[in-house]
Amino acid sequence: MGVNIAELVEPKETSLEAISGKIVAIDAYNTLYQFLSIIRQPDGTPLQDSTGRVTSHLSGLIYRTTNLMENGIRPVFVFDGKPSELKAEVIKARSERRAEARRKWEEAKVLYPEEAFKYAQASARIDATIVEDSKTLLTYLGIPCVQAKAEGEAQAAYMVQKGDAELVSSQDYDCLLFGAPIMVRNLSATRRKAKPDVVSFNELAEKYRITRGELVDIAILIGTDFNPGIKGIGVKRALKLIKKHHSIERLLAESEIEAIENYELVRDIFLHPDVNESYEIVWGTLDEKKVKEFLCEVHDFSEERVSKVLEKIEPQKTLCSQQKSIEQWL
Amino acid sequence: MFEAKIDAIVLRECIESITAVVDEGKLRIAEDGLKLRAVDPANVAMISFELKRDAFDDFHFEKGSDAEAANESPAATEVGIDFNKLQGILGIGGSDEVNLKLDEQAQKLFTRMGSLAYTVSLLDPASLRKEPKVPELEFPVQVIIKTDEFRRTIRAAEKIGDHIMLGVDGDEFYMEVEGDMDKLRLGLRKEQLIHLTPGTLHSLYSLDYVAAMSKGMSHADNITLNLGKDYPLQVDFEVADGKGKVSYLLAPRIESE
Repeated sequence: MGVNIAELVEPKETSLEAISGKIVAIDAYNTLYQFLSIIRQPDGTPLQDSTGRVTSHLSGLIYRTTNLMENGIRPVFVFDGKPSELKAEVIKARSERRAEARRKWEEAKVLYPEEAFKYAQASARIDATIVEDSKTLLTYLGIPCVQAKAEGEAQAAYMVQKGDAELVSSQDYDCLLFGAPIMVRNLSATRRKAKPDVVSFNELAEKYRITRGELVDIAILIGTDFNPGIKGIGVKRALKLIKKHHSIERLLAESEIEAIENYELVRDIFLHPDVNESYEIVWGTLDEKKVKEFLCEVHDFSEERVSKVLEKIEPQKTLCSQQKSIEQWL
Repeated sequence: MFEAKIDAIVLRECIESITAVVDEGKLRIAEDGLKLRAVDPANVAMISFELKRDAFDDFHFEKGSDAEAANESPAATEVGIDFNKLQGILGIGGSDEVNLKLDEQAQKLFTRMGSLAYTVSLLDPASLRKEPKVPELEFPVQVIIKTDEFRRTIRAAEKIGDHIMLGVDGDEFYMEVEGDMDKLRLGLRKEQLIHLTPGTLHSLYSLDYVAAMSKGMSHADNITLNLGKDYPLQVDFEVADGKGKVSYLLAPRIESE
């Protein structure tokens, strides 16, 4: 998913401690999707409550997101809005892939269980209930939720540009195309599995001497969520072409490529994304009672485990205060 | 010319009340007695000190003849004193009475306690901080409490945390401190206090300062706490059997995210 420019970027390993104190705009769908695909039982069955409702995402939010907070990181979740029409193809393809994966998973559970988890992961999908549940839990945890107009990553990148957040957290590199100056990956992964790493757009731009516009054109050539790209052109070739000609228009003029559909529209999506400019980041306070009610009573989480994580993120008992000067009153 | 005689215990009590906030300051000597107003180096606390001439067994003051005749304010002289040093000397004095004599020309203060004579070099007033303005504050709440009760709570609080909350909740005055692990709260109802203006407010203060101040007030029977919401604390008490007055002013800590 997302644009495949992994070959170009050189992520630098970091740690939660290093990001401590920073406000991180998290691509909510990206993160929830990870939770839903990874947090599963060995046979691929997602976590469920006693009435059969999926709770993998809630588990991820309560245990992994609180881990960020415990490390002093201040997450803001940015939820996708209405997807661009250009994404319809990708969405359709994904949904077909999911359906196929779901069918294979059912089959695998019986025939070759060792494959089941893989197919189950691929069948993970986010529905309205999952989004609603996630927002409810985040609100009870005191974590702000921001609604994007379209792409969550674009909104997150915009928030960093505005200075309201310091990093975009996402697993894929689209946020760089959307203008995120710096992004972090693997924030919600367990420490054992993957260490968080950061990618700075400036470093990337300096390394290849390309602009954001050029990077977007490279992405369009190889294919994005909004266009299929040109068959046979990979990252290296695309980089070479753009470095030489600087834009898709010139590539067309020089007949390096024959045609590319909608490239101007796609470019516009990345360079001038439709964002919610009047967003508000509202820091709430942890409502322990409501978190427990929601997770333990409604969704059958272990009260003991939930209490334990909540303890860790409880606001410091000692008051944070600042000494004033007496001069103010003289 | 300034020459005076004062009970050693009274003088010690006065000096201790000053050193609770500042080490040095400009002491204003006038016909009606001594005055001092000074802010601590960190700009967090201020002391106003006043000792009337009748606190002394003997008190002579005359503004030097070379002083400006046109001076409209009551004749006074200002001397820079290292109170910390003076307090140390008084501690070993062992005498009932202290004689003080100022030599403005030589910039020395001669103190004599029985057979012990001690010459204190004065500090150059120009090297000392400017005297602060008189604050104009309005306190919605006033609490009068026995000094011992206040000091005992502060001593306990020091073992627990760094900041102390002083507040009034209806008819109750409370002092509260929270540490990482423990919490201490003293709650006194109106009838357990000498006086209380009912209200609902509190402010937070650095315990270091409050603890230092509580040492300076140890000789007073009662203290008056003037409080507001996120507002300075003013503690008033008497020294020298009511012939002196001390006011401490302490800037609050403001709670923030």
